[in-house]
Amino acid sequence: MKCLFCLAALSAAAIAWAESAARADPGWGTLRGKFVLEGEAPVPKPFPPSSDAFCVKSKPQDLSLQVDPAGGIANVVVMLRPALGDQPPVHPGYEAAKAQPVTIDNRCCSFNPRVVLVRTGQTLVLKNSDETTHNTNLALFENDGLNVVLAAGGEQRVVFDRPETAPMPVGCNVHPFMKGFVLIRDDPYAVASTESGEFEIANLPAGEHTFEFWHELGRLRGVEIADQQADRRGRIRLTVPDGGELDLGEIAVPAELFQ
Amino acid sequence: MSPSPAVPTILSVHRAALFVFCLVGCQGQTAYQPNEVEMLLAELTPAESAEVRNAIDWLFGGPDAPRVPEALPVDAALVNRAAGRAATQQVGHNEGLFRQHCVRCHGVTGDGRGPAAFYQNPYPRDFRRGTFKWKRTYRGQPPTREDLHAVLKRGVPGSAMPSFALLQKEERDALVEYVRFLSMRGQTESALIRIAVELEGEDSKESMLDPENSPAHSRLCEDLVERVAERWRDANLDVLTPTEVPSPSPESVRRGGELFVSRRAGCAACHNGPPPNGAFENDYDDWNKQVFLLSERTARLRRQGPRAELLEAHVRALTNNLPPRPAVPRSLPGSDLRFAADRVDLFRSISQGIAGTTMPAVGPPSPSDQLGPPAQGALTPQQVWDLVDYLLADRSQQITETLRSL
Repeated sequence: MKCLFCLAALSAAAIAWAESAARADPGWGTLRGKFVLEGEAPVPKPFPPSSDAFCVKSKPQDLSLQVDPAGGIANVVVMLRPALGDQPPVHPGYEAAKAQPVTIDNRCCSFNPRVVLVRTGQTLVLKNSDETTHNTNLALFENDGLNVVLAAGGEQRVVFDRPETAPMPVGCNVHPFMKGFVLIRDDPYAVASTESGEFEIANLPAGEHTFEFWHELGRLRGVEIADQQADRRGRIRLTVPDGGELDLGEIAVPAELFQ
Repeated sequence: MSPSPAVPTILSVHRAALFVFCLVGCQGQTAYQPNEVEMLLAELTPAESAEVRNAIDWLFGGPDAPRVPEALPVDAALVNRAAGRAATQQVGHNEGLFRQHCVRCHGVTGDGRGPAAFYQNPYPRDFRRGTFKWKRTYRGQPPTREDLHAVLKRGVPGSAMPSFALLQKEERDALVEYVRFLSMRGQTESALIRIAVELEGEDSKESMLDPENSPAHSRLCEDLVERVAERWRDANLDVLTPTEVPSPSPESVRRGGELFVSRRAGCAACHNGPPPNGAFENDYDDWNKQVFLLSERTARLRRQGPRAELLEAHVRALTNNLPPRPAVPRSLPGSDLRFAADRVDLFRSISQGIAGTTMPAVGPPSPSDQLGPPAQGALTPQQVWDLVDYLLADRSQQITETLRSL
């Protein structure tokens, strides 16, 4: 049954997203790291039975906190926070990726991937690979909100003109247990951690920047990152080395943050 | 004959409502209330919330003396006529129209929290999101002035919103303009809250939002107002106009009935689904959802323990707001439709869904949200017309048709 492959496909998509063009050119640098849960990992719970026969068969689970057997935390968003009104320079290697659409697929009664990054002017494809009807509801602040029906096999393409300051919720009102997030930005400097908890942002402008660490159950407030404590909004200052790489190593995130 | 017991009850509720309103509204300076729910959801500190309040008051003034920022596509003279205390200086010329006609339900701030709001289902509209259900524009766009006029004139059948057809045309003009003003004010307040989040922790002396004294922040606020204003300008509002309006036929009614229960359109999943009427626990429209999210956040704070002051602020905000109610789709066919004066209105509501609610669009998004040629929706325009014909056909016939197609 195709739904068995969902998780594998999900991790492949997340890895593909984290990939990017050439790295560590002079003037640019890379940031990487890995989030590991400190404490007991939750067992993903199935949702209460839906009235939709297809969704009952697909057995979707509550993946609001997705932790792999080694403790890696998926879907922690790491984003560059330029000062208000500042636009960071963008490495030309990102141009090609911007021309490619980003997809949110309704698959096995889950949003896949759960967290997506789309740039302003880039096409977002809302797609339904399930044999049932879904709708995709994007509640946005800076852009026109959207809530479209996607029949089985259907898709809809949209673009956004303005960045949103935080990941915005994606929902399906036919199946309210389905949850996802979309982050709309002008620049490409944000990424969600993969299923194993790893992340990498390549070709950041070298120098000192503020980064924010966000998860749907709470920002990484007070978490120790590179010998500093993230502030109450999960932000810290980091220096991206010129032509090099800043590896934050394993970042231990206490399980209480997600309670 | 003894009087109906319901009459004194209604009268006393009405009097109590007026009394509460007078407590708030008739003494001294009236103020717009802050959007506590969004401030708490954005985790603003009390100091940051105060900065947002100062900034929004500086930009938009208060309900007794509103200020219309230059960029807003809003007629300041009409706003002034609708705002302020209800008064008549000359026969036939009424001022303070909003407080005379609207505040009991919609509140002085237009936040849908007037003293009578609690007793209504659905709750009165909160204008601050700028989202309106009954309009001709594409789903994500604000309504036109004509759309708001139509609601004022007709009222909303099946809700507590009455018709204001007996007001003079220019009085309705003033109310429409003031509702637009309150919407743009609310959207600006929301944007200021997000700006306060952005500014926090910035390593500069400009990290306090202070447009009155900081030229940089004053420019920032102007940009922000301009962005809100841009979305409300007539030139940016696309009215959905069907290219053709086919006539109903027994055939289209039959096709509509089949579509209604089909998996493709999915109408029956909500409108004829599990009781009560397909309502989903924990699924809310955009207005109720904010308060629901705050109640979830409050429950988490309670579990986590230590931050007592913050918890107190959450509980206070929840008490000040209307308890969230899950979305209840209309039971169809059978219920009266809230706002469909003609077939084209219903075509729009099905094509674009109903903005702010859980009802999605089966038609395409607005052309301005797409690149390249206009897209098709999940259903073709003809299929949407079939649904319209089915819903507007004779009720008993509809039920027979539905049962037959099952």
